[in-house]
Amino acid sequence: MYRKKRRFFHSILFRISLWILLPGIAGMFLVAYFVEIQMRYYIEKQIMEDMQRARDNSLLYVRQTLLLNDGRMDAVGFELYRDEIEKQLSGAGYREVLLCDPKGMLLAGDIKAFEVRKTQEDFARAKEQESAFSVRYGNSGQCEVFFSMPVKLNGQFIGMISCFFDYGELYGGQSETIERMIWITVAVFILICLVIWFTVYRIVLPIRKLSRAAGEISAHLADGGQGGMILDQLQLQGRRDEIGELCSNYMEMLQVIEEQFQRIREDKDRILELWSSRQKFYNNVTHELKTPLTTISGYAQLMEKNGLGDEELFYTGTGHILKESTRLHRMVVQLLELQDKADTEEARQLNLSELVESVTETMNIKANRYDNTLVLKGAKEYFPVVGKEDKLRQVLINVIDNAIKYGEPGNPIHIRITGQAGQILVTVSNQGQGIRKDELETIFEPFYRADKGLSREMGSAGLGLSIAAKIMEEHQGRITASSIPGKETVFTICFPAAGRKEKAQGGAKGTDI
Amino acid sequence: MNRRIQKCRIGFWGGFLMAAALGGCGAVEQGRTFVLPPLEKQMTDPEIFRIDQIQQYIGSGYAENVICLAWGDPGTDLLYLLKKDHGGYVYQVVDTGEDTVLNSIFVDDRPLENASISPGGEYLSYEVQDGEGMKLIVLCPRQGARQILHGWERPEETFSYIWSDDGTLLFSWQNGDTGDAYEEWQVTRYEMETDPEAGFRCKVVRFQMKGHGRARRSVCPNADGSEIYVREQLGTSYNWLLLPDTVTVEALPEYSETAVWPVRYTQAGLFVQEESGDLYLIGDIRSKPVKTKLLSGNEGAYDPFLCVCVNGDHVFLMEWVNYSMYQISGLCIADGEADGQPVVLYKDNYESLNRINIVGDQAVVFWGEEFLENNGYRYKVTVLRYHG
Repeated sequence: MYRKKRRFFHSILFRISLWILLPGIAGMFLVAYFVEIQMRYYIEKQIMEDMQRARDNSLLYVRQTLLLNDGRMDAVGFELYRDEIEKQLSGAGYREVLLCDPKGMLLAGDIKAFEVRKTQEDFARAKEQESAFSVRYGNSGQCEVFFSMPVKLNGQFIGMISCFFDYGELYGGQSETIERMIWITVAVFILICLVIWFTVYRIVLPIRKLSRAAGEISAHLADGGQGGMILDQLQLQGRRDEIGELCSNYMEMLQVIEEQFQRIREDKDRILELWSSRQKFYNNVTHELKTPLTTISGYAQLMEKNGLGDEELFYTGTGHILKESTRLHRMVVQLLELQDKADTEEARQLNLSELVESVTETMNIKANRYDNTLVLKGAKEYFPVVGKEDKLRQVLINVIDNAIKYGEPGNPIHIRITGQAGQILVTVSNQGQGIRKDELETIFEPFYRADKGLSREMGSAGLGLSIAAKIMEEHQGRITASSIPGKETVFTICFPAAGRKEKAQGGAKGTDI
Repeated sequence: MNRRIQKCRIGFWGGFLMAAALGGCGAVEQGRTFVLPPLEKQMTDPEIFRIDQIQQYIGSGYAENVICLAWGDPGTDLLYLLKKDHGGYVYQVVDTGEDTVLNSIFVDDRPLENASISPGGEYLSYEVQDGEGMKLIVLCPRQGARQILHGWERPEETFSYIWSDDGTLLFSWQNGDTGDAYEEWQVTRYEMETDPEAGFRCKVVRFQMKGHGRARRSVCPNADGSEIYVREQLGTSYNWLLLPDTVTVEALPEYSETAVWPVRYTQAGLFVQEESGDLYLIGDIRSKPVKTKLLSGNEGAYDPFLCVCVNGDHVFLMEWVNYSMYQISGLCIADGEADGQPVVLYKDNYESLNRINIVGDQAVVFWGEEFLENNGYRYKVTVLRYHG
């Protein structure tokens, strides 16, 4: 709960709301304050003008009242005709008129009002022969103006007039207008706040979702999980603004991460597989090396024990030692080839037809030994490939050799060269026991043999096809096998075509591939 | 460090908000006292234009019944008035000091029109309709004599009248609003003579004028009636000066591009008022008129009623201020120009203020109506004696 509350107070929504609300409210207070000040300024300005007119009029009224009577323009006249003056002023709209002598003593008017008025500053000013007015504002729109002035006629200070004006209607009206204006401002401000809040909420919501999604993805990353489902929850389609772009980029980033994770997982599996393969290879190598060495060592021990007395053993043992050592030598050579230790040849463009034809001719002798024949088709056409001739020859020899060894005697082995879709295919098919489907995937691994007993008799170390596969990989090609157990096995060597080129010899045009 | 910054930030905003709240919600100063700037000397002790005495008379009866009135000679408290009474019209002389009616003469029981009392109250002129048509009659109340000055058949034909300042000359002219006077019209000067032995006589000088169709006509005699300025205008304006001594009509040059209403023809010149309310003095109207602005009218406001003294050196303005408040202002003219701004001379409440006249360039007289509680009005005459 505390964390949730803390998270709320640190959220962008809360902060932006606070940044809008606080200055907004403060601004409204300040506006209200300054509007009030300004309104009072204008009212007081108007009152000032009114009071100046009131002073001029008062003097005029006093003068004309005195002239209307005996024309005595002095303090005595002022006192004598105070009632007439008061009547004249009241008739002109003055309220609570007080007439005082120059010393501030009441001559005419309400005594209670006088008791209050004589304590006011404007009255004191009038005694000092200055016209002044005091403005009193009430909390309910009241605005009372108390005006006091000296009466000076012909240079003589003959008395004082103090009266009251009510500006409540004007002030109250303006206050009401301003109050209404402020309330409208408040309402507009609230509306703006709501709109901003809603807008910010809309902006922040996807960020929140992203944040939540990121959190959940982080939680799932440890398990190797994925965020695809979480991303689906974001539902940010349709947003074309920066947030939409951010989400889109974020989703793309997550997809890239996920792909990388997938690749890492695959690499990990491959590494594990390679590690396993390597271990297997190592075991095979040690096993394959140990076997001839055991034979050699056994015969050598026997020959040492028996000495030269057992001639048959000597010759038999010598033959086995020679045979196994030869096999051992060949195995080492093949291993070196597999590791590519002696590769110095440069790649160049070759006519694959010529190469296949040459290898076929060479291997035909071996095929005859196994009571087989090699049948070549398609070698008349020009099939250019780029590669190392020896390596490619090795590939063809290994594959054809494999077909001779495991082919059914008496059945021809078909070799065909074709070109299609930018590729040159060399297929080698033989009739024989074939390869089971589950073994097809592993026949290109080192030391694999379908029938270990049989193949060892044929002098195979189980490295030929793996060498061929490796060479083809180096030449951006591949080698595949398909088989129908008990019937037929087909190896397909796929070369990338080098492009159209005239036949190297004879000037014949090549075939487009 | 961050916490410190945060504290500072909270402190700043807290202070700002507190100040704003106190400023906005707190009570602004509830009272203040202001001192007015000192009065100008003109207001405290007007030297240019000064009222020495004010006389006021509030008549009994309803103001609606008073048709016209005139104040007596300067120095007297006599008021002459024509009022409806006794089923007709009664001419009365009232002593305002004593508030008594000194003399009362029954004038006529027929409806009177265009009645006016000469300054000084010596004569009463009025129009009345009888079986033969309209008649212009002058009554000399002192002698109880009356004389028909003019008669005409068609009541649609209307006349205007003005008395000279000394109250012995009556000027009449045909208005230019009826077809009867479009082409030819007359300006007549009636000179009243009252001889205790010979009785009441009247000498007539008539000017035959050439009309220009429907027009507004103004006639302004000078102080002694020896020169009469005449203007006819509606679109095109025509100005003449009539000389009764030689009975000649002299055409005058035009002096204004806009329509003007002549107010008074004095020895200082011709006073005219434009539609905007601006007051001008036209000097040397007989040869090369010179137009001088004396006063700006208050545009959009109630135009003041103007009255110019016989010498042309005092102008009085009767202005409505607000509600029922009227004021009389005075403006001095010196050397053909306004001497300062108008000075407010008198201010009072009236339901309406009807007339303003100047008596002998010594006093300005005006009368208005005061509201009575029984839905009637009483008339109040005020006399401001001035010097300046």
